[in-house]
Amino acid sequence: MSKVWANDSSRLRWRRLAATAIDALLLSVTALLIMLVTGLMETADAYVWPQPLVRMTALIVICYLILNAHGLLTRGQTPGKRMLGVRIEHVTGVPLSSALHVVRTLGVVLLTIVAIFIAGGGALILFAVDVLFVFGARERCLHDYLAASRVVKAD
Amino acid sequence: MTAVVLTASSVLAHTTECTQQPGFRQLLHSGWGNGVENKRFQVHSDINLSNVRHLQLEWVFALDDDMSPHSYPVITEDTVFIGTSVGNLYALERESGCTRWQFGAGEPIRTGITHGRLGGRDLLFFGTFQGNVFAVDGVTGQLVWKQDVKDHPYVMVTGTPTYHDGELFVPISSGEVALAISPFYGCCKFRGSLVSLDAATGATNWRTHIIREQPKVIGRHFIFVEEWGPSGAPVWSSPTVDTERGLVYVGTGENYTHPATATSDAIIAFYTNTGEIVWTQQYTRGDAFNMACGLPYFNANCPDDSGPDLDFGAPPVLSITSTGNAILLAGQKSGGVYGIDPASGQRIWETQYGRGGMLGGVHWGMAVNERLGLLFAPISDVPTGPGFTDEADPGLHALDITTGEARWSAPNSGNCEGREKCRSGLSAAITATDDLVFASALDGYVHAYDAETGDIVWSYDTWREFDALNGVTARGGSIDVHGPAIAGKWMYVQSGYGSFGQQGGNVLLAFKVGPVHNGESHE
Repeated sequence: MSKVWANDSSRLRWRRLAATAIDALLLSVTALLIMLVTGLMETADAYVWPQPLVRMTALIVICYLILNAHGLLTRGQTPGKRMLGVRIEHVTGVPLSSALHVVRTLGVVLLTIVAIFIAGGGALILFAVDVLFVFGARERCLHDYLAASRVVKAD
Repeated sequence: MTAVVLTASSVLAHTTECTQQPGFRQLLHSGWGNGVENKRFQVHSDINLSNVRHLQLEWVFALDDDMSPHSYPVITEDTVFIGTSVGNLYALERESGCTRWQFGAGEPIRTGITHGRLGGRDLLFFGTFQGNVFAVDGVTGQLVWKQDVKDHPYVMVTGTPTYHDGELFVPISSGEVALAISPFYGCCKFRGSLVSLDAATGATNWRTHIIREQPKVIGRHFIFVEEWGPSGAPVWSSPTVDTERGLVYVGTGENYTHPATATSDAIIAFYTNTGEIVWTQQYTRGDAFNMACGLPYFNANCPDDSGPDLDFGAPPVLSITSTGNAILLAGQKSGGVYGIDPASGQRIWETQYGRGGMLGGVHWGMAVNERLGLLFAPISDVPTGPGFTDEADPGLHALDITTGEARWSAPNSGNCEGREKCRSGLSAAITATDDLVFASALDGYVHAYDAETGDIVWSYDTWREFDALNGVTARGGSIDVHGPAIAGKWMYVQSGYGSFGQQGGNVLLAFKVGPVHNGESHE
C-alpha cells in the first residue's frame, strides 16, 4: 500500500503544484502546435459562435488525452506527476478506475472551459480554487473530492 | 445668440401599448438620408429659429438595447419606426410613444430603417449584424422577406439600405477587420461590395465587389498561418442614388491587408441597372489597416507599413451648386471634405477641417441646405492613437457647396467635466432644416445651430437617467452614429452609444415644439 507522505505534506503539495504547472505548459504547447498545423482557428468560420467553444473544447480534450491518457490509466501519472515522482490513486489505496479518471480530469477542465465562455476570463478562478484546495487539511484538490482520489508519492 | 439649455424635470406618464395600426398617408422621414440623395435635409419641419427654444422633451422610450443603439427612424404622420440592437423593430405612436406593433428580427438591427412603397404596400427595410436584410410590412409588422447577403462569414450590413424604384441598394461591410486581432486567424479574405436586391422579393439583381481580384496567399506567420490579400474596402454607409444619371455612389473603407488597392478609401460610382463601376476616385492610397494594428503584442495580422484607417464612414451627398450643376459632396475620416463632379468623379474642390483620425474627422454623416447653398460638416477629432498628432479642432463647419469656401465654424469643446468616458466632438450624423442644423455630440448634448451664423440657439443635455414610459430603466450618454431625426414639430434622438469606449445608454428621446403640458403655448 502507498505511503501518503504524511510527515512531509508540504513537500508533496508543492510537487503537485509543480506537476500541474508542467502539465499545463505541455498542454498549451501541444494545443498551440496542433492548432497551427491543422489551421483549426485560421478561417472565419471558426469564429462564428458557437464554433470557438466547440473547437477549443475539442482541441483541449484531444490534447489532454494524447498527453495523459496512457500514463493515467497505466500508472496513475501525467507527465508532470511522473517527473515530480507522485501518482494518483483511489482513497482506498487501489488504482483509480478509468471512469473516475475521466471524472477527475475532464470534470474540472470542461466546467472551467464552459465557465470561461459564459463568464469570460474571470472564470479561470475556478482552476485556482480547485488547485488551492491542496492546501486544505486533507491535501486534496477539488477534483480529488469529485473522483474519490488522492495523490501520493510514487514508489 | 445665447444658448438655451433645457433640462426636463419630468416626463409625462403614457400608456405603453396602442392598438391602432400605423398610417402611411404622409411619409415625413423616409430613412437615413431622408431621400436617396442623402442630403439629410428635412423639408417637413415645423421647428424653426423662432420656436426652437421651446423644444421640450415629451416622452422617453427605453430601447431594449445593448447600450449602443444603431438604428435611425422612418417617420410617418402618426408613427416612428425604430430598430434596436436586440433585434426588435418598433412602431411607436408619435405623440405618445405607445407601441403599435413590435417585430422581432432575432438578430441585432444594425442600420437605420428605410421605407419603400411597392404595389400599394408600405415596406420597411433594414440590415443586421448577421448579414441579413429584412423587409417588414409597415402597417402590420409582419415579415415580408428576409435575404442573406453574406459572401463571407463575418459580413455585416451597417449602412442603411437605400430604396429606389423597386430596387434596394445594400452596402456590404464586415467584422473581419476585428477578427484580425486573433494572431491565429488567416487574415483577410473579405471584399466589400454593393448589392442590388429586388425590393419586392429580396432576390439579388447584382453584386459588385469593390476589389475585383480574389484574395490570394501573400505570406505566412507562425510558419503555418496564411496571410491573404487583397482584402477589405468595406462599404460602411448608405448608398446615394443619382436618378438623373442612373448611378449609385458609395464611399469605401480601408484595405484590411496588402496589397492595397485603388478602390479603398474611395468614392465609387456604379450603374444602378447593372452594377458596373463607372468611376473610382481614391482619396488615401496604401491604407492597409486592421484592428490588430492597435495591439502592442501578438499583432501578427497587422500589415507591414500599416495605413491610417481613413475610411469614408459617411455617405456622399448629391446636391446642387449655385449655378444649377449637380455636385457630389464627400467627407472623410481624415477631416477632408470634397466637392466632386458626379459624372466623371473628378475633384472640383477640397478642403480640410481638424486633425482627422480613425473615428473622424467626418465620421457618420453631413447635411446640406441648398437654399443657403451650404454644406454642414461635423468634425469629431476624437483622440485615436499615436498617428494623429496635430491639434484637434472638433466642431461644426459650414461650407459653400459650390466652392468649398468656409462660411462659418462653431467649435465644440465639449462639456465633459465630471463625466467619465466623455469626449468632445461631433461624430454622429447631423440633420438640417430650412434655418437650423441639429447636431448631437459625444458629450451627450444635442444642439440646434442657426444655419446662417452657426450660433447655438438651443441645447439639451441627455447624459443622465430618464423615467421611460415603458417602465424600463433608461439612461442617456454619448450620442453617436445617426444623430437627430426631425418630423413636423417633433425631433427624435437616441442617446447612449457605448462603442469605442464611450458612455452607453438606451434612450429614444422625443422632443416637441408647441403647446406644453401646463397649457401654455410657445408658438
